[in-house]
Amino acid sequence: MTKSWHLNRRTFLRGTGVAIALPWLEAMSWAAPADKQPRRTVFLYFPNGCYTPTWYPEQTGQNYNLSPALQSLQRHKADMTVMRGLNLNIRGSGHNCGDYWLSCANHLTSANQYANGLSVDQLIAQSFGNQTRFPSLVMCNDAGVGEQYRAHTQSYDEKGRAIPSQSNPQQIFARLFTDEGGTRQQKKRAFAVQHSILDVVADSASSLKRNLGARDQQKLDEYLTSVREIEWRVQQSEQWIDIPKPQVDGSGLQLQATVEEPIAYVDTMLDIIFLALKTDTSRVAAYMLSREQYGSMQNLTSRLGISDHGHHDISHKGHSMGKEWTLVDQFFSQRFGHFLDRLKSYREADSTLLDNTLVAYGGGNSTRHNCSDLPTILAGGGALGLQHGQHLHLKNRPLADLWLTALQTIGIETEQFAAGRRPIDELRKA
Amino acid sequence: MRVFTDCNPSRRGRYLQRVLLLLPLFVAPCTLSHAQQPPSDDVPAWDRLQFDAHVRPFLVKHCSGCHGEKTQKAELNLLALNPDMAAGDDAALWNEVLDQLVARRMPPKEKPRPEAEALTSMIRWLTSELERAARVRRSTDGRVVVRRMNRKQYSYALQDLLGVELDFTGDLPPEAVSADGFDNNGAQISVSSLHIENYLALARKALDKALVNGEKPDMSHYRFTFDHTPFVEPDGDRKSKLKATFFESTTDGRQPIPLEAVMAVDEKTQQISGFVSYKNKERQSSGRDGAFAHLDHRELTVAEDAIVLSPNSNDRKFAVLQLQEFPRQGKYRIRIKAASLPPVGREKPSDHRPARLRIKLGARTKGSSGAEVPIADIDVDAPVGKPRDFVFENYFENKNVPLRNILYAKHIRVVLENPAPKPPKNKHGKREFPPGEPAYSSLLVYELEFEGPMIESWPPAHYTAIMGTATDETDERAQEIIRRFVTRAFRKPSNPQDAERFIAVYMQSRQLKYSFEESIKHALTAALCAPEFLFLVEPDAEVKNQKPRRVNAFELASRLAMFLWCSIPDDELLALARTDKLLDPKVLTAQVDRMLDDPKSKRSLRDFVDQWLELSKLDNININNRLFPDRPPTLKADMLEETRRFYEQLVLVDAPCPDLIASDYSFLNETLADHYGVSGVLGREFRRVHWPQPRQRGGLLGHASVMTLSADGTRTLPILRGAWFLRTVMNDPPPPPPDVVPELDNRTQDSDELTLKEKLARHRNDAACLDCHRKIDPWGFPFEQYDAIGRWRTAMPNSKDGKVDYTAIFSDGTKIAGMAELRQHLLLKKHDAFLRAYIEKLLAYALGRSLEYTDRAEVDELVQTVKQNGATMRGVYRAIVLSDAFRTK
Repeated sequence: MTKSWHLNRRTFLRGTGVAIALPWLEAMSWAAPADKQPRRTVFLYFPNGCYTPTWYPEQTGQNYNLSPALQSLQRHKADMTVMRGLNLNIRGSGHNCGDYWLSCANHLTSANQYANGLSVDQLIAQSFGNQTRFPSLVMCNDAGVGEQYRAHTQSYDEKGRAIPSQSNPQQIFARLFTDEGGTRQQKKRAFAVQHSILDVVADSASSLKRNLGARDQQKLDEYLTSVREIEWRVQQSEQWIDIPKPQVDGSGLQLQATVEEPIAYVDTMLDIIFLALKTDTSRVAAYMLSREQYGSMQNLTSRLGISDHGHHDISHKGHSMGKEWTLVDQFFSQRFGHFLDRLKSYREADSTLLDNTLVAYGGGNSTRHNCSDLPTILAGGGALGLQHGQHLHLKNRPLADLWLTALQTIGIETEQFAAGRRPIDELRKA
Repeated sequence: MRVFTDCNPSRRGRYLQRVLLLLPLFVAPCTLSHAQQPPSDDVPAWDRLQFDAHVRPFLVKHCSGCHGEKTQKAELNLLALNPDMAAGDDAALWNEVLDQLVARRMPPKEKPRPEAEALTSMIRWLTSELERAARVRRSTDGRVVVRRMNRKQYSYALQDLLGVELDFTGDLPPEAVSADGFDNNGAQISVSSLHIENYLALARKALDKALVNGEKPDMSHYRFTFDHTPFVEPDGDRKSKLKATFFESTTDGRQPIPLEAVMAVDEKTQQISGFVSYKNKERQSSGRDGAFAHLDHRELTVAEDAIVLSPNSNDRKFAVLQLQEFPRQGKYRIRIKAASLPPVGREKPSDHRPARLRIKLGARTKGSSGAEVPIADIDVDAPVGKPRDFVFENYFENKNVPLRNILYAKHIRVVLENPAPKPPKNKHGKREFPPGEPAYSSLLVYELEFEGPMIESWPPAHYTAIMGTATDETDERAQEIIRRFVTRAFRKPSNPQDAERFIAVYMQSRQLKYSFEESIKHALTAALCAPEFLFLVEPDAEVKNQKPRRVNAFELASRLAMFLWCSIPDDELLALARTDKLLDPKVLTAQVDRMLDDPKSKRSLRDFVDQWLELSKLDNININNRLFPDRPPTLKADMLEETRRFYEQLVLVDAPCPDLIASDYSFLNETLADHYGVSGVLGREFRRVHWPQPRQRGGLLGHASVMTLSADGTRTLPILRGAWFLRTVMNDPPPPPPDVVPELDNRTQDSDELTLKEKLARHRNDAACLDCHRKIDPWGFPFEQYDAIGRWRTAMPNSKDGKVDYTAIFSDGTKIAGMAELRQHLLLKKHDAFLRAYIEKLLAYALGRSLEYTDRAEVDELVQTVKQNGATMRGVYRAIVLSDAFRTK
């Protein structure tokens, strides 16, 4: 089935007579053939680790019982795999892992400076992004990029620059689904003006740059790159000028919810992702349920009546607050379960949306506040060759192996991702 | 070696946050001495002597067996690494060595342990060398990197440029914070596509607000007055009625329409109940909403010409003014004419408290129940017979107006209430404030008025400021408008060339058949997204010769305005720049004073003290409800206000700098005074209060804000406060612990590997840990006299002997017992170190860059200048502005 808003390669090329390199153009050939359902990927990250004694199931293999923290996922047991033994090679506090969950990059340069690298969601966006109106969704309950080692985003470009996230459901919804209005002519005119504005702004920066020292020039380059990205996005939007945004009824969504109502808020954010996947508005989403340590979800504990202590504080109390911590973990896994429900509820041809979507759910941080033994679940992708219904106890495998597995599953032909060289065979149907 | 603030932010940045949760700390790389000793003058160069004398022998003895010339386990030959981490490329590997040593993974168990002293000095060398390398690599050679306005400055700049007092931070992402804790550091703050996207949208939004066009919008205006008249019914019943008169008017030329509603008043209780809707039939017939205001009141007592809100009544809420036709944007104004009526028998001024008035505002959308949020909480200090007007103004669009989705609201509600506590029942069953306890007055409301949008002239002044008064739609006029705007926005000598690009945008827009004004907006949007507006551009005349140079008068004006107003220069500054008069030190000094006297300085004074003292951390503190029950909800906000106001006032009145450490006054309202146990401060208003017990309080250090943010909401840990004190007040940040030290706190038993006891033992036994803790911990002990929410305490029920241990003993034997002694110590023994630290922090903030070792001489000179001029707060501001660093690019 080809949806009207799928772009074919020719349409795409015709519109891009511009000075911007599009390194991912060749990647289009990787995309799924038009007769198949689009392959989607979602990454959901929860902060501050989890209370492992109640998070990991006791038994491994296929005959395992869900742990207390994951009880609510019973109905999805056959569609997911719980994994332990995945590691990130990041030194220092477990909170640092929040920056590297999806990039698995080296966190220091040789000069001992902060570094990061291309995140797996952005690699997917580069491969499939030009086929959808939005190359990827980057969301976090704490907007922006945050600070180093306490990022508000999971997504990084090929230079390791953080891609800012969005946190406001209304804005995200409007951006994805609300038509700006106006006739084709008016839209064309508006695009022309936008180009004209961006052109002169870039001209200003270029001529200014000539009179600046090296360090100042770098800053102006950063500015110019950002302007070009927006120019590119405007061009992208122009490709879609004849294709209306999908009609989505937002009346059932609680778009006004804020983190003060954690359940409504997180579910709404997840519902938006569901709608974006369903309408093929985007094929990849990375949603960070909060930044590490002190984020906007810190007080969800008091808001849900779990404890006076914040989430991060509880995560430091270990066994003495294991009960409360488990309740927090349950809150997150319930949201995850809700999301899986949504994906399952939508049928596509002879499968469900979940069968065509990989959903990774996890944290960058275990009970011990370090980056090993990361709590991780992979769900969905049944129609893409994944097998589930198991608790895998892996032996000290890099998290990047999981992302490599995901990339290969959705059809991106690569033999390595970051430190990942060995796909996790246990996830693949024999 | 002196630690300036520019350490590797990856380590330091983490550390700044992390230190609050850390117990284990290892060696100090650079000594923490500068609070204790005068800094030496060393430029960080690589020290071969030290390496040859101590490090190499250690490597040979303990490491080279496996990682040497012959054997290279893990492909690592430590003797071949470049020991100069700044010049070489092996810093990451050295970092690994440090981790292995600290974690005691190396040398392996079967090999002999290095002696404690040798290990300590090895670790110390590694850490200091890593820090030095990071500093050298991060250095900007003591020069300012071209600075983008941060989100606050951007918003204020738009406000000042366009004359519209709206919050324009929009969805701009928060700024990155530099190693020294500031969010205006040119090298740190970056630009992303999200910024550009927001700049485009915000510029457009701002221009739409400034360049409103078309018909003057309808203005809503509602006014209520009350009239209570007893009368006799025809059948002889004595009754009385309350006549409420409701005026509704708009600007469409109609006169105010008085609408009356009459409510019967219960003669015995003098109460009315129920609610009344006011309908404007004329409007109704024109097809618009019928009831467009209604007044809801339950069990209200009435006076002659007012409604009474007594603390005694069951439902103290009244006058839910519900409006169905109301402005949805622009400035609104609420006026309340009110007075305070003391309880019977408590009429003496010292015997009662003024009535309280809380105003709440809320919008209801379809399907939501809505909720009102307080917008004002004040004391009504006007006596009966002399009611006063209380006026509240704000823009509907501003973020602090609690009207989510006002555009979709069906109606808005204005709620007045008297939130004073309800008096208890006395033995006769009558509610009465007991003698000796505060007695709250009743609130009398005589009039209530709501109007908006407030428009002083049409088109508004901010429109004509940009568009002029001409009305023709010629390209010539457009060019003139764009030129004028660009010159102001770019804050530099007017050059006709600058505007050409933006005129081209206008021309293209016109060709696309956009209207005149729309095309102007397009051109101006581009100008507001151009780097000349967004950045503090200070070009080099000759790129090849990038020697430091003096900034020109326009650049100086921009630097001044960013420093003192968080915004762009005003016309006076630009005029002085045009004639170069601003470069005259006398003129410059006078401008500093003028700018500090301007209300706009409040922005920067508060912004600086927030960041200097890390006040935003208060947000993250959950005050433990069980330990500290019944805290007023405004407590944290009031704490913050005290510290901000204190700093602001010190600068405004040009107080002596030592007042920062030891003043005999602060600024309190009733909530905080109660918190501190100070009596005689009544009401919400902050005022200057003389400390009755100067041993307990004085200066910033005893403020509840900083004592709360340096604890965890439950209990105190001396190391947290010691580290906070060194970081902020002494600008001598303790070094980050090595990466392998897990982030744990001392109450935790969460590690599967080590119990708390083991951790503490390891910590105590480790010479390297002790080395550092000995320098940080003592500073925290005097603060033990304050509990986790900053209250004075003389006992600690949970400690071993129930006593507060507030005595600090330093390694040199100095003993400081308690806050009073700490203040004395700082004033007498550390005066210069403290003053220097303050100057360094303010200088870094003023320059928008971190200080480096090359700034040493400048800082020395600043300290001397400030002292010669009597060490006053404004003296510091003036000296910084006159310094070479501030006037050099």
